[in-house]
Amino acid sequence: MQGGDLDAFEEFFNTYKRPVYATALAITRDPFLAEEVLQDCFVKAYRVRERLDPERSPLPWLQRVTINLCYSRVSRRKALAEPITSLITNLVVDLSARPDQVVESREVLDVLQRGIDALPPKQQTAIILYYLHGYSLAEAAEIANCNVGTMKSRLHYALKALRARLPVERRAPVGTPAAVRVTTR
Amino acid sequence: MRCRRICRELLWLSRFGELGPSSQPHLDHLAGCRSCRDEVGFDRAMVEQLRIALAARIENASPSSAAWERILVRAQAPEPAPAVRFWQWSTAVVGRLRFATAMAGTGLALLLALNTQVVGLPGTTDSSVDWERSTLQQVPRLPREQSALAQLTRAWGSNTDAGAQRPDPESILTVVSRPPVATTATGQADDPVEAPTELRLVIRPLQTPEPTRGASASIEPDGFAWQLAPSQPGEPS
Repeated sequence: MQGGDLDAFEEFFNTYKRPVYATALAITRDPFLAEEVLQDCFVKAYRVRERLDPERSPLPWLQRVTINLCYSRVSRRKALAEPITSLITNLVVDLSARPDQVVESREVLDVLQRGIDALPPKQQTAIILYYLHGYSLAEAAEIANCNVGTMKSRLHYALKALRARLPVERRAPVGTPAAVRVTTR
Repeated sequence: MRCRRICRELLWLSRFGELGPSSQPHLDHLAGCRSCRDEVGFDRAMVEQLRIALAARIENASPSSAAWERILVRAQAPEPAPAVRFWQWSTAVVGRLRFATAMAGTGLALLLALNTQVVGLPGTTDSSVDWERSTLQQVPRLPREQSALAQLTRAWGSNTDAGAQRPDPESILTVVSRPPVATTATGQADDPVEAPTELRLVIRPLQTPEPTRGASASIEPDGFAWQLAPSQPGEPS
């Protein structure tokens, strides 16, 4: 791809489009916006192809560009796609669970989705990289351009903030009647 | 170690998969403490729900088939010239600063609408030509020793003074605000429409600071009460 070979570029695109698009969609929650970010990201990659190190995976660089593009766009468009989220949330609820569990699980997911949106961008990035993509702490830290300790700290504060958003009765420990019940799928 | 601290450390270790042989005391505590077990259990349950919530955001999502064609077209298009890029960058910066620009514009409009005149403090300069040209040139200029700066200096003493001057028990800084003088068609100045407003700034020490080591003492701003009091009629300004 570094020589400008378009076939190689297409292969490059097909290899990395999913993680890049997933990050963009997880941050923006808007498929159209996420696709714009995807296009911008790969166009930028093609333009700076000579500077990309062939010895290293381009994914951390692609993810970092994606995150930066997302936040520069999201700050311009504050309104996020709310209806599609609730639709997806309804779909992922485990229908085999008992009705009361379904309701509780849906409520918790709603609270968590709103909580994720309300997190500061750095904490949001941290939980997307670590819990959604499953990157290791070192990889997530490299993408976020910080050290591992900072990444842990961001994750810790993100979880603390999410936990604080759960209603008090749902913060009761597991085992008590009002605990958050996890519906495993 | 206290239970709360152990619980915090347990949460940290379990979140990042760092439980190891050195964590044995924590695990021993966990085995006997129901409260900590509940905390860690809740945290794990919440993380599980968080993973589901994050996965829900991208479920069945993939870029459209037209994305590659668009990228190809854009990638093959010639890059914009540096001047064009600079123009795009500058318009983006101006766009981001539009709030600041709007606030500055509003402030300027208010300033003009209220016919407010912004002038310097009398006595702060002696030879400013602009001051002479200002519409408030009728306001008598204070001698240097009565200027606001001089009064403040006297009131606060000087930190660099070897004599470590203590502040006056009470100092008064008087601020005189005079409305603009209306001018007739012949250029003669009429009487002011409103009487001048006089405000006194009384600087009064709440607690006189003691010099700590003989020669030098600094005067802390917290030691003063700032009062803004209107002057009494007949008092000298």
